[in-house]
Amino acid sequence: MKKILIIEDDLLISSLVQFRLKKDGYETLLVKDGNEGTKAIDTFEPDLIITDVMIPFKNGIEIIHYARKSKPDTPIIVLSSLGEEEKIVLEAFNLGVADFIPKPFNPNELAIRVKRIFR
Amino acid sequence: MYSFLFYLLLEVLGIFFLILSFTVILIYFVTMIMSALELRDHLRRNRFADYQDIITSPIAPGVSIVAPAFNEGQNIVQNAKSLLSLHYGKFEVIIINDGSKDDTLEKLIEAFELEKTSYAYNYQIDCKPVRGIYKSRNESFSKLTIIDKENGGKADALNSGINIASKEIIACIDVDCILSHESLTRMVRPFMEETNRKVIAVGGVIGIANNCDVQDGTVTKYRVPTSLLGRFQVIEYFRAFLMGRMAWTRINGLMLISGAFGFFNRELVLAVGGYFPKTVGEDMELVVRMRRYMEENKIPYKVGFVPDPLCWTEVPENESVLSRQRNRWIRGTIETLQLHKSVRFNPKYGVMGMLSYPYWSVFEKSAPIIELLGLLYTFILIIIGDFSAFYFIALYAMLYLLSLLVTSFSILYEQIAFNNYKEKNDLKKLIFTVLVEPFIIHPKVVFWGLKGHIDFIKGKGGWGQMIRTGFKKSEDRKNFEAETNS
Amino acid sequence: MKKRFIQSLIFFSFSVFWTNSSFAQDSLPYTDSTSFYNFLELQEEIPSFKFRYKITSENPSPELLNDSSLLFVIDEQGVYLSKAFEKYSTWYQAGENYLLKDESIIEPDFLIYDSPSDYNAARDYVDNLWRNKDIFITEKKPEVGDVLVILANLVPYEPLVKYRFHFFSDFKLILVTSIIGFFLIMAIGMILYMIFIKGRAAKVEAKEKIFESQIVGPLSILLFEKTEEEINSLSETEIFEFFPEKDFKKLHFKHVLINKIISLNKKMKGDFKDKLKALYKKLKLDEISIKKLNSKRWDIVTTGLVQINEMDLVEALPQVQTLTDSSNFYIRSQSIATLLNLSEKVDLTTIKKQSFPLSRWQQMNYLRIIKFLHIQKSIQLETLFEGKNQTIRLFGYKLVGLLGRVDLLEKLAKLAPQVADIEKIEILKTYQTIGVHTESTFINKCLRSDNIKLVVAAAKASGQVGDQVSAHILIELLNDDPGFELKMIYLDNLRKLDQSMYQQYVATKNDKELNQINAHLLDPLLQHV
Repeated sequence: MKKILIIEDDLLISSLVQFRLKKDGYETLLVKDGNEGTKAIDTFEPDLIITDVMIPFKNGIEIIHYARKSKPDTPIIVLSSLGEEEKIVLEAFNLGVADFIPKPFNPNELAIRVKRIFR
Repeated sequence: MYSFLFYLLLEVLGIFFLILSFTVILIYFVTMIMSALELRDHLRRNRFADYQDIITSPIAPGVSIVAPAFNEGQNIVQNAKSLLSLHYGKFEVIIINDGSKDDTLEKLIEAFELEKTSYAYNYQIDCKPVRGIYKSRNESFSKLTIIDKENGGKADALNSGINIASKEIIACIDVDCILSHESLTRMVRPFMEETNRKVIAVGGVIGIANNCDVQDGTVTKYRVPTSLLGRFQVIEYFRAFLMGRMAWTRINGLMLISGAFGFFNRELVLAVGGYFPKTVGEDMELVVRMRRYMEENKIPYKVGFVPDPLCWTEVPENESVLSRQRNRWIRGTIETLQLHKSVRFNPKYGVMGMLSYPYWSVFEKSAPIIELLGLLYTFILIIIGDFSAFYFIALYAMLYLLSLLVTSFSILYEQIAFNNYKEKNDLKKLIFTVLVEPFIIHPKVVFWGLKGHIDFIKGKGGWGQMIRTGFKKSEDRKNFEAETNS
Repeated sequence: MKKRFIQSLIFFSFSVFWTNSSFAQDSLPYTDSTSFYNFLELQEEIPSFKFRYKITSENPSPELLNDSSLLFVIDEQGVYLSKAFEKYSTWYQAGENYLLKDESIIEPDFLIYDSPSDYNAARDYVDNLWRNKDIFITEKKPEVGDVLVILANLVPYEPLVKYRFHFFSDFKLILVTSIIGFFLIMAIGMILYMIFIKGRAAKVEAKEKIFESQIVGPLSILLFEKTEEEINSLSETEIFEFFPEKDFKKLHFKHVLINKIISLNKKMKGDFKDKLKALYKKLKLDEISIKKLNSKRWDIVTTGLVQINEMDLVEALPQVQTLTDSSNFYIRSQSIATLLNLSEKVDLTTIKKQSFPLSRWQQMNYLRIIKFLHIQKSIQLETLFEGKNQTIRLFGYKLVGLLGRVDLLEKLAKLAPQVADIEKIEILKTYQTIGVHTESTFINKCLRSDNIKLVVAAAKASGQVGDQVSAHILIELLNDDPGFELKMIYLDNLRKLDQSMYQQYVATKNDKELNQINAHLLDPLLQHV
């Protein structure tokens, strides 16, 4: 069973995403801030990370940096309400994230993208 | 006979101090309530504001950031970069090298690929000669302009920047301030919101960056400073910004906008002749003069204030530096009040004349003197064994409690509105500071204030004539310049 | 008034002071020798003052000379003097028997600072002590009769001024206590209020957390496993299966639910949005939103408007319409935004009819909505040209440029010559942004205006869309020797308009300012400023 780590401070959004991904048979872990996020990358050892850019304590970029260093092969999906032209998002692309999904988004679409990454 | 006069004086002073302490209490309670209401309204308004929109909207006004730099070689490049990376659509950054003795200009030239231009400089506001205007060859730094001029002090440097500022709003800032990415959008909002009144200026809160983690130009982790002097300034800034200025904003009586972070309507700044470089209190003096201008021309206006934490600065934790700063502040206050004494109790000047000005004269300017007198008074009462000494000791105890109450409330406001100091320990440290501040630091502040008074009387600055006559009209400032030049 | 009061106070106190002090000199507590001795008796002891007896009879009896308590000694002048007593009572007792027998045998004598003194000297000394207030009447039960009168006389002088101090002390006492009382009441009041607010907020927050956790699960199931039709056909009992009935009846629970749905709606896309809206109506949350419009608090009304806008509650539009001219800026602005968003046909007449001036903030909001709608619906921008308010008309002109509505230029051109100068300036800006080359006559007319602001706007427009005549007018304006700033604007636009005329002008003139400006305008680094 593939493991997915979701880093997102909006409980409702993350729960919905979790609900949807569980339906597809993934094991998921929800964390709500940057500190927990980096910890979970090491302990939970996810096969995929879904992260927001604006989260408490650490921003998404730091999470990506950390993940790249500690688990270089784990794909990352960035979920953000910032536009694609934002500097921070461009930076994320440069760090080689697998996908970028702008909010507002459709959880079903997210599930499809997740499926595609694992294929 | 003489002893009788002595007692009479004692009585009169006693009554004076009683009335004063009553006024102090009244003012503080009114301030606490007013600022709470204003803060509540601000937070409510914030709920309905979409700041993202301002960044790109063609309707939003342009902003010229004007930042003077004097011997800032060490950090100037980093500072300029963070200014350039603010989130806003239409803005420019004007950095003024105010005759630095170090390599400020060279560092800038190297880092931003600058080149001297043949800028046709127009001295709309008088200032020290400009040696050159630099722009970057690199398109990505097109927002940046550097003025190299002869040294003339902060106000003079700001004036030289205002002369070439091309946008509608001028943001006067200290170059070493840390600005949040959102700072421009949030500060511009009051200018955009008002419909019936002209917004002449908007002030912001200054946060204390000592001991905080800073990343990409924002404070990512708040910590209280390590020294007592630093912590004292944290609570003092809370009190000044979240209490004082919020309350004054509610009745549109704000007279001071921090020189480190203030936004002004450019057209109006030009109309009143820019900063007045002869005073050390140039930030307050400009606001007062702009307000006078509006009142004299009978244009409805407003001075706005944004309590969101957007700007941080390192404050001096060294006693001698701090004492000089406070000395300057009090002298600036005295000078400004002297220059504009025709405002005092003049109903023509509305809230400013009837409330703000008298308040500043009594509670900001004369506070150190009154406090000293009060202490002497109580001392004399104790020596001559007058029973009313006990009353005054009781009054002191009460004023101490009042200061605790006010400060605690200002910390509370911060906790409710922004909650930046999240660590429980930090809160404890702040509360400890609140308790000891009246005994350890306040006397020093009073002493520095008194020294400021003495320095003012001694005539530091040397422009006695001007201060004696003051500005009869807000536009007198321009005449003043003409006189000195001829 | 105040001055008068103080003056009279001072006068009064002085007069009291003077009269009292003259009275004080006369008021020795004794008038004759009897009362003097009475006084001495009362005193018992007087500093540096001793009592003794002197023998006045020629032949004193041996009994007297050998009295063991008086111990008479003869001095150089041959006068018998008794030993000195410090206390009046012992002195008097010692001599009492002889005095009662024959007053002429002995008489009192005194020592002041141990030097012999007679009655007069003693009296002077005591007088002096009394005046300097070094001695007082010692407490002793007054005897009835004369003594009482003397005692009444003996009450030490107390200046009236002292009463004044008493009065002020009391007055101060009242003031101080009232100040402290006021402080305490206010302080306690504020602290209690704050505790109350904090406590309530903490409670609400805790409740909200609980509610939120109760909402997440059911909401996920509803959104992922039910279709929109299924949501629409949910019965009440089915709803209570998802959300516990007990909680669902609570208004607070519904508020949390509303907030969650609204925030989800902002972050979700596609069919989720429709499902959320269906659910919102099914749960009758729309009624709560619409009810908010009747609130007296502006922030609640505005929240209601935001919710109506987010959830497309079209049925509330008539009521929203009534709020568009509200005196509160937020209500006004949000209600119009809602109307624009939800109306079938976009109707700008509500904006047109506004009596309040449009703030920039509102313009920004409306622009965003109109821009979004502009793609789908055709908008009658020209209605704004007839706005009641100048700010609305200005906004209309601006929109023509911002949305690139070339079709409205003809209307604008017809309007332009008649409107006020500020409006002309806005129209000129619009011409400039769109690049309307057909309006040079109007521009030239404006260039000749007396209003310098209008001239500047026209000059700026002429650089882009002027004609040959504009260039000539610019040169004329330049020849009038305008100020530095104006000169720069005119030259800049002359250059943009006609390079050769510009060069010719610069070449013929040789003035320092002009050369400076020329250098500036030609500097490639300053081009995109």
